[in-house]
Amino acid sequence: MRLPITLSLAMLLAGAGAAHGQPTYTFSPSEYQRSAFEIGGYAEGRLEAFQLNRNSAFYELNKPYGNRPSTNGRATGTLELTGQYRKSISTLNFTVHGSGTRDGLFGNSQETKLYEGGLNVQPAAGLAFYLGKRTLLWGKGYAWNPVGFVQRPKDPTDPNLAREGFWMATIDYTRSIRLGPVRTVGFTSVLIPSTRTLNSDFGPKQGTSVAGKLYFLVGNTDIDLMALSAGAKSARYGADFSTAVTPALELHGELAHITAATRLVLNGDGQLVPITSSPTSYLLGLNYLTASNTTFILEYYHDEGGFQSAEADAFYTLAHDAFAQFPSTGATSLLQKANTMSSMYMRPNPMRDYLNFRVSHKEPFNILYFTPSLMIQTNLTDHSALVLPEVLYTGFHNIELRLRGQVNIGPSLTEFGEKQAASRIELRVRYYF
Amino acid sequence: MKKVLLMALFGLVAAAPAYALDGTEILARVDRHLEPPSYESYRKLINIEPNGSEKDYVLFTAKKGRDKILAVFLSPASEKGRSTLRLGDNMWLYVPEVGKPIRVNSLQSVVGGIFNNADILRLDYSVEYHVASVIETPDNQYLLSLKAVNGAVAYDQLKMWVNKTKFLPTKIECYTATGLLIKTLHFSDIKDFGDGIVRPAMVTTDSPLYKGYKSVMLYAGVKARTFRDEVFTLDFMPRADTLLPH
Repeated sequence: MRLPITLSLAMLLAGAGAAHGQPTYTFSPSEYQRSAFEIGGYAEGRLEAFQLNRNSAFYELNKPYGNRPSTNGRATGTLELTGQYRKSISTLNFTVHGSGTRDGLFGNSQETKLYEGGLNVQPAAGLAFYLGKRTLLWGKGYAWNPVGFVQRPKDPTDPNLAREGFWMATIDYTRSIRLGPVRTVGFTSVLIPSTRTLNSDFGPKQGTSVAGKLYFLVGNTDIDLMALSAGAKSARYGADFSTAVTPALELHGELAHITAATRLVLNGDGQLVPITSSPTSYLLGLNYLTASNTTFILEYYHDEGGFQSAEADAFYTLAHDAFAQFPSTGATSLLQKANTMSSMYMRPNPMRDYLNFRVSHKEPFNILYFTPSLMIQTNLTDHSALVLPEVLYTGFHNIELRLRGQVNIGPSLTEFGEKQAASRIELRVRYYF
Repeated sequence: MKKVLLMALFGLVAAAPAYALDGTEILARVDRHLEPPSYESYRKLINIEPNGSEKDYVLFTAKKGRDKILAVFLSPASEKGRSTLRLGDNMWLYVPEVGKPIRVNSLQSVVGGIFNNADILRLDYSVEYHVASVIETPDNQYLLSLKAVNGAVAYDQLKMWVNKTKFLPTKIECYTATGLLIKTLHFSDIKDFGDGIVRPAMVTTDSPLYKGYKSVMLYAGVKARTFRDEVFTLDFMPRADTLLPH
């Protein structure tokens, strides 16, 4: 109670004019000096309630028999610790992410992962070496990153979630220059080994990959050119840009070419057939801020390596047939076949053409730290969609509250119509320390 | 008669640049009195709501030349490690959890409240504005009317009251192109930071768009320091806290 009274007095004095800046506050930088060892992080609790779609392909594959409820609940507790120890030009860092989940449908689970950890040596401001596990994120897109050659895929419904890195050695070199409109050039080189025990999920094979990214700041435009050599995955090449057209309008894009990618489809005889192609994918997007503090994000994403409409239909039909056949015959062969394919079809946005639209309004009605938003992702091929309303509040000291819903809209044999959950509501409370 | 008119016109034309030059010189002196050309500082930003509740943020700032500025959040824990970079009209925000810098613009606010990115990553006034007019006020101040050099500047017009002896601003009003008052900055608590740096240690902001709300910016540890140009690059943003003295 003492503080608001002090503040009120300060405001009264300020209103008087002459005292419009009498120092009411004290501030000493000494308490913010850098220390050699630092640790921080967050603890998070998340509650989710699901309305399940019992007629969807993924529900039928996940729960072909036994108790088949129409609702589900999930509670997740997460602890993320980040620490660093600095000495001279070297820094040892780590980020450990642990979570435990209680799920009404799938039981209890827990996992602990090292997201990042290693040694960074920075001999100069423009030169840094890193050896260890690192989350390197390439690309300018909000919901998708076709040029994300060295990172784990993002969740397009929650793009800002932290992700686990890969073990790698990197060199980052940057120079500020004045060469016409070019102000900065930078180069990142990456070495990623992949064995049975190290980065085993980096690609389908084992091997060592070399990647590089060249960066330029030209006028008001960021430009990246990147490449990944064949190793654990096939070779791939890409480019991205982000430019401020006006102070309120940003345009961005990505272009990626993969020399060989394989997708698993059903042929006319119902046999599983791998199809290998050299797909090109791209993304074009804009970010526009209005004078009233509303931000619009619009992105179009095309993935030539994605499934075509008939291929997706065949998979969903297979899943439904397998489920229909199982109770009467007990045959599991179709279920096994569908489950073999399911991981490729279950990944986010497995088809070819998508549109993402997000609108957020910061601090409406002068409610500080409050941001409502709405995101809609549409599969342009089958016209199914995902709708995500959200409210975020960060006004409590070191606490972030987020309430979001999710509704999957679409008929049978469409991407969002075949999701396991028809809708979901989530409350997330995060405490930073 | 024609001759007299021509002479009078010539006199006006000749006088105008001299007047503008004075204003430009005043603005340049304000810039240098507020900050050295290359410096570091600590700032605390406090948002005060009408009910008296507060939220504060602490930033370490590095600035070089007229158009390069980098700030890294030291507190609270929820913001720690975030950094913002400005190179001329370009602005980026790095959030550790997001893992890469993203472009932001000057009208957005990384802290919420009345201070926006343009206030937090302010360049020299003389980089973003030219002096449209200058008058002397009865209370021994200059009143500069400033006009943005281009549409990328956050505020189209400023009215700046400058103490005539100290060449420090006492108040700045920020307007849109249509003449709408967006916010007012009040400068106070003039402090000697050493090495000849004497400047206001407190800036208070209010806005008719946020009635009853206030934001305060406190300065500490302002001192001249040179930085390599590469400090002001996207690649350095995740490592911005390595600039902190230890």
